[in-house]
Amino acid sequence: MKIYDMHIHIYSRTKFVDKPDPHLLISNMEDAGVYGGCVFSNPPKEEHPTQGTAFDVRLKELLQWTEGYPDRLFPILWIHPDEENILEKMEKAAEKGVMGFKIICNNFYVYEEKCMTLLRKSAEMNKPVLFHSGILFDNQVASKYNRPLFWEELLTVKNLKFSMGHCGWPWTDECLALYGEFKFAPVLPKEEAPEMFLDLTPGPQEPYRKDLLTKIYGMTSWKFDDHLMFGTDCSADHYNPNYAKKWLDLDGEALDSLNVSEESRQKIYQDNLIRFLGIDSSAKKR
Amino acid sequence: MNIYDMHIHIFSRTNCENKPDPSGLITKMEAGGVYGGCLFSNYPEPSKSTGTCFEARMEELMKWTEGYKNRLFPILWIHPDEKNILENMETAVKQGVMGFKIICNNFYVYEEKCMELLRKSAEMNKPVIFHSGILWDNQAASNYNRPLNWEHLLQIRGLRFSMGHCSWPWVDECMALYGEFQNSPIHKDGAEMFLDITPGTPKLYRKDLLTKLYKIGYKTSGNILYGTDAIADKYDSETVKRWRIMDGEFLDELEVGKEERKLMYQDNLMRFLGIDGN
Repeated sequence: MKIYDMHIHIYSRTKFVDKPDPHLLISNMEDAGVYGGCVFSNPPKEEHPTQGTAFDVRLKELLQWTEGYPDRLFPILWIHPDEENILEKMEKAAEKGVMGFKIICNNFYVYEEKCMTLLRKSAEMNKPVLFHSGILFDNQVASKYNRPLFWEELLTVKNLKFSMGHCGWPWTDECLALYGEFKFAPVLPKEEAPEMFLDLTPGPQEPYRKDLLTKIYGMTSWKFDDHLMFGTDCSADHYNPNYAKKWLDLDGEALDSLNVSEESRQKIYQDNLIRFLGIDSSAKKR
Repeated sequence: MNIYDMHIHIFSRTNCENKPDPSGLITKMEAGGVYGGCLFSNYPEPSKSTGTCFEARMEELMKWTEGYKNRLFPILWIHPDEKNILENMETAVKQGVMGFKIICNNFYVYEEKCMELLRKSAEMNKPVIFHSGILWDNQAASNYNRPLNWEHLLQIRGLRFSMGHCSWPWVDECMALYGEFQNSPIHKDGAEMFLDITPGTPKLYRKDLLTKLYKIGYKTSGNILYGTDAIADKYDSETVKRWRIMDGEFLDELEVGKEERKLMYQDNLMRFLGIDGN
């Protein structure tokens, strides 16, 4: 089993490195026992007027950060619905090798038409969307946009695959209940229904972590197995192996105590992400 | 003590045998250790395409409860967009309906069109049984069902209403709201909130829910109601028993006394429906 980290950020212009260094990133990941993962571009200017960058700059930097490791570092472009010509940009990004899109609802609700348009476009291109969900520590008042319940509107988006970052913490029960709705009360027929994945990236800190995993693995009839993914929220330019390892160890202990099988663990750490990104084209919808 | 299940649905045109069969239902309930309960009519037309008109719902509901006046209690499901709804509510009560079921599927409970129905229910001394919590209803409707929206009912004099599923996954919000209703200065004349413990809450959350209900420090035991969410034409005695055994074990652990259990399974519902006259 290979371990993939599906939640790694690039933040441009940090003090740590002045240019993309995928070898350093891979080396740090390997120190934690992590084989590969999803690398998110810098935010768009429309998201962060000061730290954000324009589409071309972001895309170039993102592809530099993942260059040379096509089966290990997966480029994910952070987008915002207010970007000019965003639909064309999404197409261009996909042509250049972008494998999915990151969206953080920082000043809009996910169900607003301007965002729903992007989601329909992603689904049409068979690219997943990686959302932040839950409280947003973002130096602005934006958490209200990120309550899991707002994603209920996505029940109608044909064939979309999307993930809920941090399992919506501190609203994890709401997030799990929503997962149940997508699974057990779909609006669309199964072959067209959107699929919701749970991104376990902390978010839920240590005291909440075991509670979350206990609920996920205790509600056996809900079969969460096929939709869980592991992530760390580390930064590309100073990927911290000790931090990643700490979570792998903590989760490992919790999974041991919950008697989670090897097969299930392989899904969390590897198989689900590969299916989510569409890399395993033979994988069936679950 | 008789055990009453206050949350049983009639769904018309199901794949099951859907001809009203109250004696068949009573037999299945007895096999589950349940003496009687509340039957909700089919959906009203404005709720769903499978909904039925007032007359059809009424006729079917009264057939489902016929012959068991002290055991099967007819509850009419209503929607504020129904034509002549206030008159229909009056007609329903005259024909023996004992309360109303409302699911906020495309409106907020505090909208005037709904508040009007609630004032009417209170005036007729009939309780309202709400869904609350996430709504798996093949549409995006859960936002209408967050418990906090019910805070507006504080001002409805004399209303008795119940919160289905204790609003899972927002149980804490529901409990906090209950505290507000109990402690509000207008509580004496205002609405009375009941907690309908129908699952809802998945098994894994059940003990946590019961612990909160009985240990929170508010006076809850006089306002808890037991229900199953079973369907009239396929009442599953075994599932009903399994849940009650599990609840029983948790209630033992929590040292919930016989008297409190009797309130939950029997007395509170009688008071809620206005049967005991007090």
